[in-house]
Amino acid sequence: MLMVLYPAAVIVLTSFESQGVDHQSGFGLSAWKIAFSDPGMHSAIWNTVAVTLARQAIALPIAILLAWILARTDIPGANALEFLFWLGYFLPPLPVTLGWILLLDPEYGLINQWLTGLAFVNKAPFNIYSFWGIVWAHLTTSTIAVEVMLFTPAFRNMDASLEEASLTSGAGVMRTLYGIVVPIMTPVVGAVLLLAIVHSLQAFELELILGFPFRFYVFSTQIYWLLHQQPPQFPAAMALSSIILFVMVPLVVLQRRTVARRSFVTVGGRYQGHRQSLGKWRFLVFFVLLAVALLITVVPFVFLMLGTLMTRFGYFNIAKPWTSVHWSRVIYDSVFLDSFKNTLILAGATAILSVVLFTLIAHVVIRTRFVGRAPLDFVSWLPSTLPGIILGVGLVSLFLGTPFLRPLYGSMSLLVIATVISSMTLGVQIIKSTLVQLGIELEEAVKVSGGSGWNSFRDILLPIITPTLLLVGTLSFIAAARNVSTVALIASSRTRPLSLLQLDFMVDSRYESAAVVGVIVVVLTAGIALISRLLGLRAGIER
Amino acid sequence: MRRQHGLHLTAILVMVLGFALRAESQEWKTKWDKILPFSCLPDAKKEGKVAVAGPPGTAYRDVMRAFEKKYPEISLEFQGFTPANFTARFSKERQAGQYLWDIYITGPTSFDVTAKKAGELDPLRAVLILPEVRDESAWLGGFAKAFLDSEKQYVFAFQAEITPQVQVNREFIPESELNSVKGLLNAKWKGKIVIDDPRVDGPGSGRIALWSGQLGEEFVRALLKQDLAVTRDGRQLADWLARGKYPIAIGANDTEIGELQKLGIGSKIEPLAGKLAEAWRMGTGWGAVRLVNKAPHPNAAAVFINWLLSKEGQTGWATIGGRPSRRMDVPRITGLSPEPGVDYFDIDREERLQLRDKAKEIAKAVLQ
Repeated sequence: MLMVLYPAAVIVLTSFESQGVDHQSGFGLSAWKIAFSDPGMHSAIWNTVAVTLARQAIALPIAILLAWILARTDIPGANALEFLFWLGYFLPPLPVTLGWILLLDPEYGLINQWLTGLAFVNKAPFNIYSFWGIVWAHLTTSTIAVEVMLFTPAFRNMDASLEEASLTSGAGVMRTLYGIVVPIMTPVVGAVLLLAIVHSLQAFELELILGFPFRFYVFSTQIYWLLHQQPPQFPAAMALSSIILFVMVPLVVLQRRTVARRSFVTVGGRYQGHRQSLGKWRFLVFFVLLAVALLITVVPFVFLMLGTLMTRFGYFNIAKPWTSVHWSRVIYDSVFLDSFKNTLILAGATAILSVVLFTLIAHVVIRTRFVGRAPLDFVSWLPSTLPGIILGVGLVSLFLGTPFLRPLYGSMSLLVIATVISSMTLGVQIIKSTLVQLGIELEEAVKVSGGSGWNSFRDILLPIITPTLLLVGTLSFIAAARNVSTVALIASSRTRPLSLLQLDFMVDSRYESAAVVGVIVVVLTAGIALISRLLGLRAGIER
Repeated sequence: MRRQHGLHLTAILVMVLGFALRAESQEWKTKWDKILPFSCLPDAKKEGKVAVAGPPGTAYRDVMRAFEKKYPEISLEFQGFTPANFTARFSKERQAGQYLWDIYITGPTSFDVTAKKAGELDPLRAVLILPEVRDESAWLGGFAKAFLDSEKQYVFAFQAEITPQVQVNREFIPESELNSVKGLLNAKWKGKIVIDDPRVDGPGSGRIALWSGQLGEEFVRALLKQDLAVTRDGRQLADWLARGKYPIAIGANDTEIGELQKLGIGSKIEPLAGKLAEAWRMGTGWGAVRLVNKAPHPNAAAVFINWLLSKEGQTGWATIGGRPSRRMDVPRITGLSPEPGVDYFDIDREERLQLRDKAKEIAKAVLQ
């Protein structure tokens, strides 16, 4: 808790600092004034709300439907399709966004050019540099993929008798889905929605590339802008970050109250896991799902690979458009091997530590009567409200200001702690959502028959939640492997991972080489994900 | 007799001068020997390490590697940072009483002023020991002119790069239609110009700062009202210019344009001509060095700085890093190295800081 609360406290306190020249500070409201004196702030807040609403209004129903089909029906190839969505989430957003620009730029976008070649099309129908362009890029780079990833295991943990009762009483599939399934799934839907809101408040990479040209700013680009002033306006940036923190308080309270109001148990002693038959629609649904999965996985992956193999991404008409030079530049880079090794250590340690720590937190919050469980739950939300660089600043303060932690400064352990904290909200919420679904009678049966709490956890709970834990481990792995904003601030020359090598290439404007590093991280994570899925499929409620 | 007396005097003067020169040469050698590894007092070797914070990017890492080859006894801990990241980390470390860095290499930023005022930078001249480093004739405009700070002590700019203020893709706009900087205000260029975000430090703000000094603030305001597209991505900017999406670019990266032109793309992209003062600027890029105070490895730091500013170090900066050096005796980079004798407007000097800040304020007000 200290590791999370300290940076959060640093953020709030720093927002009231007025920085002097000698790093000594006074207190005041000047940072808040700077943050809100920006005339663009109001439109930035409105834009953030609009993008968030538009994204979620589209993504949430689609993701729920897709996840339900994958988890609850007899669609062929469900596991492979689900894995495609995982892959879609693993892909680095920048090359994918550049790919969409290549297709949808109003002047030179390939799709627009093709369409304007048709007799009845007068002007380019698509514009990636627009509000809907930004929404589209978000949906296809991560939003739908991650929501399907999060919903599917939860839907799998649902007793089939609930759907059957609805269907046999004459309700159609959609009515059953949105009238029965979604209300039962309130904890997971609520958690995903909250995570999506926080993510929207922090997302800025796509907005920087697609929004800046038409001066479309969002809340997070205002924070980014303050951090890139000279000198960086840390107190003002932290004032804005505090707002995210304050916005989250009522939302988290609301979520806790909703979940506490009634039981959302979907897995009890009489659990039936069989799937609904899609009948004659089976293959049609399969092809529709395949098309969606390909759109958010294969199309971006093609962009990514093109990016690594083209002399300059997007230029097909030059004398020598294809090359392997970007691959050799990365592989023969003097720090590549060390960075690769560091990434394996960092991401591996983060994944293992995350699974253990987040399970413990989720278990305490959901399964115990520990007096501090509500604050603990709230604390687990805090990391998601902290922009990466600001979390880094907080951790630097913590490690340097605490004598017994000081020796760890500059070591890999600081990086691991930082990346574990960064993954905390997502990981804890996923495990919590699963635990809420599991009836307590399963564990009580073990205790009644003489088993200990540990026995009931190990023999009953653990096998059921294993797929969820593997998902959390995989997500923590990729998050640690991709983390730039926090890691860039606290890594040393000995601990630098691949994400910083990628940053080096980005700074050099060598996006193709940066994409190579992205592919390596994706392949690494996909390998881990594949192993974890193979293990997960052998465990879980249905086994 | 008088002639003989004169000869004696000359001989004495020559001897005195000779002794003085010899003494000076012995002085630098004594200093150098004291800090240099393998000498009788190998302080730098004892320290064994130098901690350098530098710019991010692969090229700069590769430049620094040459130091390790030259001085294998001194381990180089080089780490690339963006200015925002380094400032944040440095500030927190100082607050905690941790002095972990010896040298900071980056472009001129307001860090220079705040760190100097806070006494966090040490004067560089005392550690610039090698005669070739202090050689007046080696540096463009002389040794002292390379210092960016008002005191000529703390921030030494070893990179000098000339860049055009504006690039025009002549495939889309012939020279007859646009041939001067002031011509950018013509209403027909509305919506045709892209600028690197001038609200933050960078190529865009540097360029409008120069114009606000040369052509006045009103010119800058009028230009920014030309419905400019804004980006912070140098690559995106270069691509747009090459494809003609925005055929006029302010703040385009020369290297980026060069890379495109090597591939046969944007071959008609040219600097917008005009009066020298309006059309070209001289900048430092990432190439300025500072000695951080209370450095943990002061002797190794001195060895590093002398190497960096030597002909050998600067040759590496120019050939491996691909950035033009202020040293005149290293390979020039065509199109980027300044011409000797030309008085370029150097926007990076401390005394022009206000000009830069004011330009950013104007941009912020107009571009919202």
